[in-house]
Amino acid sequence: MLTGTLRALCAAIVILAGPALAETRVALVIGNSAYQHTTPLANPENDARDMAAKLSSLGFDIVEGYNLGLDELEDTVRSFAREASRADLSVFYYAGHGMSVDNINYIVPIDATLESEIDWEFEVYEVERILRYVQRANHASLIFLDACRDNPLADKLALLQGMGTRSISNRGISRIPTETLGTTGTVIAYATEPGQVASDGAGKNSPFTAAVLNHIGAANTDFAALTSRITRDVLASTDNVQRPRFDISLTGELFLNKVDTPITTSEVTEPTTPAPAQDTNLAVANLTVQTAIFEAAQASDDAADYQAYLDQFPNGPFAPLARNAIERLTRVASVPTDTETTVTDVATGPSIEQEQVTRMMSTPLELTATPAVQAQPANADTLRALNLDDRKRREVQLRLTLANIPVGAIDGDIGPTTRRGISAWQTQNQLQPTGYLNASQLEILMANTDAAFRSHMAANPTALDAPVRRQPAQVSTGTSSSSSSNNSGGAAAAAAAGVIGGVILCKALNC
Amino acid sequence: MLIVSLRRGSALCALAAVLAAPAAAQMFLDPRGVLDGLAAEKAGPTVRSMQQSGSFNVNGSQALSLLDLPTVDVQVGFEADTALLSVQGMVSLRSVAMALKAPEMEGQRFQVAGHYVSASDQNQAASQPISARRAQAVVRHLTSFYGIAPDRLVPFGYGATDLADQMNPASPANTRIELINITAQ
Repeated sequence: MLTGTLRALCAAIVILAGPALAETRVALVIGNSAYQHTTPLANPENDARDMAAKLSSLGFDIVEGYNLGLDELEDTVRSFAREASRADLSVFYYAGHGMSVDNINYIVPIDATLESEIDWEFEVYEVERILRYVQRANHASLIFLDACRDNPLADKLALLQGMGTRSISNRGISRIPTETLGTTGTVIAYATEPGQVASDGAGKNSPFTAAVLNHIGAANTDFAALTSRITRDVLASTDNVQRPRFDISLTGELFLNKVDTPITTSEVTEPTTPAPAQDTNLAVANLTVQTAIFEAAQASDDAADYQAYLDQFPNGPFAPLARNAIERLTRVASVPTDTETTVTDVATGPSIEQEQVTRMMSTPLELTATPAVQAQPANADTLRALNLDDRKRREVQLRLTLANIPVGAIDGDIGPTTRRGISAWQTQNQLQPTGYLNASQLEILMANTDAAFRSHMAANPTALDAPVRRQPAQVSTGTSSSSSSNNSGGAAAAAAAGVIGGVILCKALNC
Repeated sequence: MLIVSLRRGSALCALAAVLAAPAAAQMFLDPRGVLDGLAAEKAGPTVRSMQQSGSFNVNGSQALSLLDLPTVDVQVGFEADTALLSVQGMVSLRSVAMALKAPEMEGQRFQVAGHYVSASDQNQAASQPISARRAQAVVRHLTSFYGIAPDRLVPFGYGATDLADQMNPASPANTRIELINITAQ
């Protein structure tokens, strides 16, 4: 690209590529305020209109819709799908009520009643359907979901007897598995941690949308750098109560507002933020994610974990520390430090080279289903023989969830839903899909979800403590940590899983 | 830190270099330490004289506490009071596998000795089955994932009969896996 060439030619002056005007940008903007069967929301429509105006000023063609019933929503999405197929960059922004049932996310149109355990599914719109249109176009995409406001309709739905033990979040959407987003560069932005309540805002805009509007037009700033400014603003305006979440897996820089004035490097970014990394293969995530992963590495003090951080964030703020730690651990490993006992005759000659050892140390353990493992039976008996206690069963469910396998609630009950999940996981791992684990399979699951699991537990220390089994007559509103584990993962897990994709900003799904 | 296994009053110290970062942190097991500790020449006088006289015949399915065989202690992590390997345990076994696959170990056979002290029952009886299952889990893991030939590894559960730290039965040092080279030389 032009940018790179000129940078190479001229070290002192960075000339940013002429306004990304050659690029086609399309945005779908939806704001639902005027709910007919529950209290209307004050801000989503304002938020969406302001967002549409802002995106339009950044060169986006806008497909917009406000206060949409299901039919209008369908039509609007269809027009967007057509537009998106020719786009180079697309944005989806939704403000309004959202909800999650068994980890499937839905936008709630304004005409939804959610009064029947049969009909509700025909009244709402699956978020992932829209994401498919985004992904099919095979380009970078940003998705903003501001749907994390208290949702009385979902409360009502959860009360219906016919919903049984289905896991319903009355706080909007759950985290979207990033693996569904392809590899074209993705950001998913949520107004708050999925499972937490976001504020609708006392002013004209919700705190999240206000912050996005304020920063998204910053000139020549990588989107990754914007996320920390948005986070800072939202925290400040909510007394640190609401923290947006960004699941970011961009494969390069993303500039929403490129300005082609030649400028010196020092002016490219505001002094308050670090210069965006220039490594085109950089995967960036917000500081929260990086901190969680780095802290997990510190907790284990394992070179492989530090390396896992570096793989994700080679230029992250903790990268120098991580490199130092790996160097220290490698040095310790290669030089016996205890002189009380003598390590005698290593004179036989090292048939295992230092380099081999260092490489193994810095590689996270990953197990694969060998033919020997594939030949081992996995059935109800082998599962029973594992003698998993309640907590361990929840751990299995959480790990499957972190592997992006839906298993329903993390309730320690290895029932039909979890077994379906186990089968799906087995298929993914070249194992017979029996729905039951054996010891070797459990080891594969544990080893290969280790980084994600530890990041998750670092962020949610109580994730496995209490079952999230929903009482039949009430919605579990008070278990944010368990419901977020139910929602699989969090940004840390996504980052740890190394997903690469588009941009999804979840600001507006009133979770 | 080096973990030293003093085998049954013999003069032999076989050892594995287990290098630890600060307390409670995950340890990294250096495969070269394992290799070194299991070398045939680490056998003590008893075993050497048996080997020389041709009376050495050990198949690994019995307690070997009286023999000064080449031995390493490996800290293999398990979930508390179960035979479920922890990820840390699997990481240690990756090092063990690298050692067992080294050319000089080709064809050598090992007893995989499980030691475990039940916290609730330090007088042994409850400890043996778990120690045996742990040894079996190690053998299964090494043979399943790393292609170590099953006939090279014989699992055996010692329960609480052969404590590394007799004075302090609850010591974590008593919950360990040993590899013992039982190859007839």
